Amino acid sequence: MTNVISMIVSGVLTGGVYSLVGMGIVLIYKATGVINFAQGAMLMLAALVGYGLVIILPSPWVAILLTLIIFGFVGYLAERFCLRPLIGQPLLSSVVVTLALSWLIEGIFVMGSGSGGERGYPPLLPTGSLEVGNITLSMSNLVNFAIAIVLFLAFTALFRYSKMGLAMRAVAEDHEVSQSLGISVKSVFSQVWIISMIAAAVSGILIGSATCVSVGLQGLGWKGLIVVIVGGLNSIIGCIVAGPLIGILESFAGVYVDPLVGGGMKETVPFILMLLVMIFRPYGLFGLKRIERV
Amino acid sequence: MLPCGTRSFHYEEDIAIVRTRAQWGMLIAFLIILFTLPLYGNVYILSILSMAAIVLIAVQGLNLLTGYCGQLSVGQAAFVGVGAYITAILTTRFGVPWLAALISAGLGAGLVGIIFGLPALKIKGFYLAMTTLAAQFILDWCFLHLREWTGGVSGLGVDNASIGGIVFASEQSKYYLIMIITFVMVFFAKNIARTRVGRAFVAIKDNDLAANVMGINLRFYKLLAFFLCCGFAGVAGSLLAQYMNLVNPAQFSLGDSILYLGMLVVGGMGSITGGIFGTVFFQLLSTLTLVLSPLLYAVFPGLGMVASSAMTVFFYAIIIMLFLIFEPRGINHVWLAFKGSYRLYPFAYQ
Repeated sequence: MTNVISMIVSGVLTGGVYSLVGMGIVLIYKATGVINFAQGAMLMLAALVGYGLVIILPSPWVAILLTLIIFGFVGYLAERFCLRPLIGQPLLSSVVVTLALSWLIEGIFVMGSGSGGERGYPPLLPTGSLEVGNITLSMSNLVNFAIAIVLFLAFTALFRYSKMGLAMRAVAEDHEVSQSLGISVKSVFSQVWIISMIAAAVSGILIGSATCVSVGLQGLGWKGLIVVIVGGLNSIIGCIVAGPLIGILESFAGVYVDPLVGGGMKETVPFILMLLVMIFRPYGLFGLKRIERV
Repeated sequence: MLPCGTRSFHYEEDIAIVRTRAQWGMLIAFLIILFTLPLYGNVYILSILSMAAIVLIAVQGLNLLTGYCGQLSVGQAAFVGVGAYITAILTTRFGVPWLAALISAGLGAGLVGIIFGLPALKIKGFYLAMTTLAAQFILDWCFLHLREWTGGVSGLGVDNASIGGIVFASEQSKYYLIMIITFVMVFFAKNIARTRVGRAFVAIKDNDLAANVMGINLRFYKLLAFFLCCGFAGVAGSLLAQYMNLVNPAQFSLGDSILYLGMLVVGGMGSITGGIFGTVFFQLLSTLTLVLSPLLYAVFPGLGMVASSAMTVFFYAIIIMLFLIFEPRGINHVWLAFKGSYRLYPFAYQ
């Protein structure tokens, strides 16, 4: 029994990180209507840049801050040069552009990290494990989960209570009406991309320091997309609920299904769940019923 | 836009692929050059052209699905893999003659495509992209983990193709086989595009509700689009298997899917010639990168060996993004504009 509970708990904690990645994607979608397929690649690059800066600079916190600033700038560049020319074009263009962007960043990552191999971070955050009752929790997972919750609260507060969040929601509804009300759609797009890339950078550094910096981090981007679909594209709450759900499903699949089929199920089961959700409830658990169906 | 003075009085003239005598002349000259190339060309050029032809089949399949029918698919490489593995398993394990294996690969991949296309009946756009992405990953997992069938990470070896008693072992004979099959498949794609089925696809892309109201059976045509796309991918995979004499999962990754989509977008989406332009352009680009890499090593000695493949990826991605930003209708549009300009010069009469 404690085995099951520890699986659930570890699933919830890893799921927190997936929610963090998904939140960046939801942010961009809520304001611009574009799905950012490049989120995973961005976080991979952030892990690499963070690692490089942490090694060079004396204080790790300065390095992290600098990474966040750099990635805010990268988000601005990505929005300004890749996405803004594509406003008004059909969906395919933005999907292919973000896919190409993710591919580009993967290329940059491999070129920048030399052999594309794995790097370990010097320990920045508390590591080790915590014993609660009979269950062993990993400290780094707990910290990641806590940071994910903090960011979730920050984003919800942003959208609900601040003027910038109100502008973002207005732009998500209708570009022309927002412009007629005096909201600059272009600056809202930039703001949203900057914030989302900072979120990606935070998750990249967190995950990179917990595990290692390698090309495989891109897989988190796909998990983030799955979280977003299962939870609903429009909803941050859906994100925070779906993340742990997928984490739990993964740990169960890893323990129970893997021995039957020879491994690798941890990556595939979330995709199967996503397919099922898309067939039976396309707008996700908490999303709004705006998906066109045929 | 037809050359000045050309009028079409019958439907067959209107939809003809090769309309004027000059075009027939150019086509015949091109075919002669293409099919006599092994006599004087070196093996390297033949191999580039063979790979380009195989990729062209896959890209034309994707063109039918995404360019004409508007259903986004990010999983094309996985379906190519399905065709390759079906061929490999049938020829090595069951001793099926190669031509039958080719046809089965096409049909088999098409059926798998229908299974993953079923969600397309209910969802559109981005959700469909995610479904095909899921297809890519799930099929990837199948290639890696169904070890008794697929050989896992190391893959399967494939014998050379043989039709009748002829074994296609040398580079030249493989070139002929691939070129003939490519020609047939591209002609098939062009025919699908210019007749009833193609028009139904385009109608579905423009506005599927209106197409449904007009009487086009959406379910049938959407599933048919998936079947054709994945069928083409299966044929391409089959040719790839016998060309490389090897199939393994690394050949069919997400990066290749993105590459096919990129070729389609760069070449020009809704047209068969666009697919040809895109594929040829990317083959030239990869050859160019291969030539440029030694120069880059000279300039940046710090880059490792892996950097050359990353450099290729980098260039591909940059090119795709530049085309999307500056010329979203692709090379085909530039070509049509040029053709229009020289056909109308200097008088604008038609």
